[in-house]
Amino acid sequence: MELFSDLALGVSTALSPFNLLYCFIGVLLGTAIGVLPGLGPVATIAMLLPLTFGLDPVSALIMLAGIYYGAQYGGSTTAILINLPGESSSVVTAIDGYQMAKKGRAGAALATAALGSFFAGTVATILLALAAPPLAAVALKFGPTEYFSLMVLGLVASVALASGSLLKAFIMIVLGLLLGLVGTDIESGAQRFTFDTPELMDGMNFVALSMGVFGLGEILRNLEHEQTRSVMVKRVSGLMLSKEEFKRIIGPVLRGTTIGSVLGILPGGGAMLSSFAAYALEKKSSPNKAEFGQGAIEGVAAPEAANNAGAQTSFIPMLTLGIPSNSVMALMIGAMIIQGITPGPNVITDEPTLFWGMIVSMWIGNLMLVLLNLPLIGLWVRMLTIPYHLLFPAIIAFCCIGAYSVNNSTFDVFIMATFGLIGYGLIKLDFEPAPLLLGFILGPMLEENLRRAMLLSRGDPTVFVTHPISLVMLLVAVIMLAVIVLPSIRAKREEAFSE
Amino acid sequence: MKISNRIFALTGAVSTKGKLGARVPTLAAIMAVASITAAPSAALSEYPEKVIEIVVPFAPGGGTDTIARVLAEEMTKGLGQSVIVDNRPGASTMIGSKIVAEADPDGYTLLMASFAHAVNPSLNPNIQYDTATAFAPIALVAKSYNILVVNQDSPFKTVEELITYAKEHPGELNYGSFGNGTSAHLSAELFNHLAGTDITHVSYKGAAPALTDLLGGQIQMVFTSVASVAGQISSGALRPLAVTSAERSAAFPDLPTIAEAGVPGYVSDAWYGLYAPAGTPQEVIGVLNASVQKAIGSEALKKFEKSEGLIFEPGTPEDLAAFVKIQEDRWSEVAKAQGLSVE
Amino acid sequence: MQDPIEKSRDLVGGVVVMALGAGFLLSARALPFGSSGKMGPGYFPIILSVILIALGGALAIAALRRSSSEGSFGHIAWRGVLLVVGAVIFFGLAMEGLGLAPALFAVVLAAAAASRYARVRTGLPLAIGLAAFCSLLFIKALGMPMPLVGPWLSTEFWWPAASSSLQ
Repeated sequence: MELFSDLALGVSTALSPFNLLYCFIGVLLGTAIGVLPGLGPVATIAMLLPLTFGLDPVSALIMLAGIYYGAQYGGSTTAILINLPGESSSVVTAIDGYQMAKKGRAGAALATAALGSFFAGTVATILLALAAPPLAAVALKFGPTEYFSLMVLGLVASVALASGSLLKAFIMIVLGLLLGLVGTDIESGAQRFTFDTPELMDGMNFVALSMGVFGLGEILRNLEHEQTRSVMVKRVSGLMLSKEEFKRIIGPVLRGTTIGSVLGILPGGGAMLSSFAAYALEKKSSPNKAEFGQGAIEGVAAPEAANNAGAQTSFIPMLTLGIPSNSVMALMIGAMIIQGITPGPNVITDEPTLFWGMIVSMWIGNLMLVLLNLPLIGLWVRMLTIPYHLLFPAIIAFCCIGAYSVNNSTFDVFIMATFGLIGYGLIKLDFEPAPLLLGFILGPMLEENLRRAMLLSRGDPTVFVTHPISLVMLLVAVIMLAVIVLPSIRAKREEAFSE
Repeated sequence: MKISNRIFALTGAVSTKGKLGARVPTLAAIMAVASITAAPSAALSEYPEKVIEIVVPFAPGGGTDTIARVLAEEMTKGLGQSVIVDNRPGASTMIGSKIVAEADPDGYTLLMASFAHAVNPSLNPNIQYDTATAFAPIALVAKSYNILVVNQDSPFKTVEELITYAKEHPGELNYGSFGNGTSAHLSAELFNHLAGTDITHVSYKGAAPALTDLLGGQIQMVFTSVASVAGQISSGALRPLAVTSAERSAAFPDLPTIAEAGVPGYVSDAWYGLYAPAGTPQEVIGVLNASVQKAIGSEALKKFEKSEGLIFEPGTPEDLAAFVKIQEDRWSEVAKAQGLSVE
Repeated sequence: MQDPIEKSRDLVGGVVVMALGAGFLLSARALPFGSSGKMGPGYFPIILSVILIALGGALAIAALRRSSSEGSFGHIAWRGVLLVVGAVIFFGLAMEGLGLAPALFAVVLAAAAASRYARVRTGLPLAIGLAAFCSLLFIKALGMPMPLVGPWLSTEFWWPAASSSLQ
């Protein structure tokens, strides 16, 4: 079996003491920067790039990959503990994770994230080892038409994120879509809503926006209720999962892993969609529907598994096609070029040590993350017992640095301040911010792919139903919309009758 | 002189950023005067005496950033002072460029300029600095070129076949670009302009999605950098048709130039040049130019000759100025002819 | 039967949303609309703005017709809004001039004052500690391109003539 000899090569590469060390440094560093609000893997990898010039290419890439998935991991910690999603993928985790933390179940939420991520990472790594090239071929079947239908599906799924009024959720999505359009129109180059401000020409920064709406907004809300409590969480119960909770997360983790593995392969934003597609699915199918939004453990397990599986499988387009699916991958390709490796379809055959060594090290890195993070949970949870009036100024300090560091620009700090105010306003008016952020992410992709599809079809809208993949996704979207909207319409009608 | 040294030591980590100057114009003017009158005797003999920042007007990753980082590493060795990269992405390089345009002309804030630098004046009417007068050239780091690639399943084996088909079927073919005003966009518009074809522009946010759609057969051709497609070319997934430079490339000696292949007069260069703010003392420019010359002769950068398709030519600051002038004139003509100015 | 403030939350929300939609529409109307076959840069923004106005209107009308009382605004943490948002804006304005350490010190001090439990005894050490910790972590350890102490705090910046005449 060729696979076994390949894997043996990978194991011997990944287990060499040096590579183990670099893998460990990578995941440790990744966790650390993931936990610090706003400081993302892109900035860190960029800063570390010169240090890797002197390393063996395999060690360098193992370390950089470790930083990437380590940061994904660390990011959910802040989302759960202080409602501060540093990346689009942890927006969803924050919804139920933070509610669990508030109820004193932060330990269980963090453990769920750790275990779910580890399981998903393992499955996705096996998938990567078994079928990377054929999966990459599937990714190429996705043109603008298919992406548009996928984004429609994502948009419908994001309605499910809201637990309150549907009308208000729609409003938030549309507002998010509009905010996402700020910047230069990709097709024509026209400026939209930029008011001649160069800093707005590339659109608003997601991290700044999300730290404002979620992080600052939540702080302002908590300051309101200060008279009732001085510590965020009074009582922390059980750091680990109970048996019953463990049973509850098995299904969501399995489904989340599947969704994440599949969507992660698509280079045009699939990994981003995976966490909330998984959340929406659980919310609609779970027997504990009512708990969603109030701290349902399934609401942490599914998106975390999806997010981590997606993070692993998003290496497939990079390793097999030489195409980076996000800015971290772009940096890793830069690192390969500096090392004299030509990224592209030949990497598997020309650099088997690199390819297989990286795959095996990903699994080892995931194992290291679990071993590293499970003991840390106690520490994180204790952080919540710090008096809030000492905790929140520190959060604000980190947010400021984080917002600045994304583009090394003070403009993003102002964006964060503005959206802090907006976020507080939304809380006061009883709007939920999660659909807004998803609209913000999806808006540009939705429009871009729709217009590109129409340009390529020279104005023929039937392409969306004549392409089979696109048709299937649109049908699923329609069914999903019906499932979401019908119950609330029926409820309204019953309400009207009873009056 | 001693006191000024002590001030430097006290504020060792001080970084003077451009925005400040914009807010306090009188102070900036005073500082500029002061640095001109005070600098030559004191600071120069010891330049560089603190960290030098190269502003890269792109996010980390990608060609300009990668080259700047390796260049910074090599210059650090030569100058004995840290040279670091400061990413200031946005507004097709205009944000980073503006920061350098407004920075103190003391040789500690430099700009890694590339293709967009010479294009922005003709495409963006709301540019907030004057490309011609705001910068002092240091040196051309490297010249490069784009490569015209098609999918392996494409019927086109030569540029001529492509042109013939495009002329018989106007408006049927699509080319992908990495956004308005990028080298991929303008190289193709120059092609349309000179070859008399009507190939539709499909704009993408960066090289990766455009190349994905080229591999997936959604679009038919892309003008792109060598580095972005070297792997796909060597594996056979993409077929190169021609290079955009005036002469054939060392990395692909068998590929014709587009001019040779049927579009006479066609040249589209990619390039990377180092600039300082206007008013930087000649002595400082001299030190930096010498440092760049040394760096481009180093092994670390030589490696890029093939993989990134770079061409290193030693040169003076004046050479950079003359080269970029040619670029500006070429693209302003193409922008006018094809009606490309944004709004 | 109901407190006007309680009912007004969705009404205010609806009106605010309509105003936002109108604002977007106003600034998008100059963009070329195109057609559904070949959409211009204004197509999406204009359609979305109109949808937003309609949804805002629906919310306001629903609120007007509602008889049952809903949650209220509650009290607004004015002091928190002012100090927290002010501190963040101050950081944006002053970080590159003052440098990270002094700017962060001021931010933490101001933000801490937003709490009703604010005491100089706890706020001051917190501000000093965080400023020192972040400077070490972000500038020294991670090497991020931010000034530790900015040009505003150098004598040369304010009295450039003095420092050069002393040479």
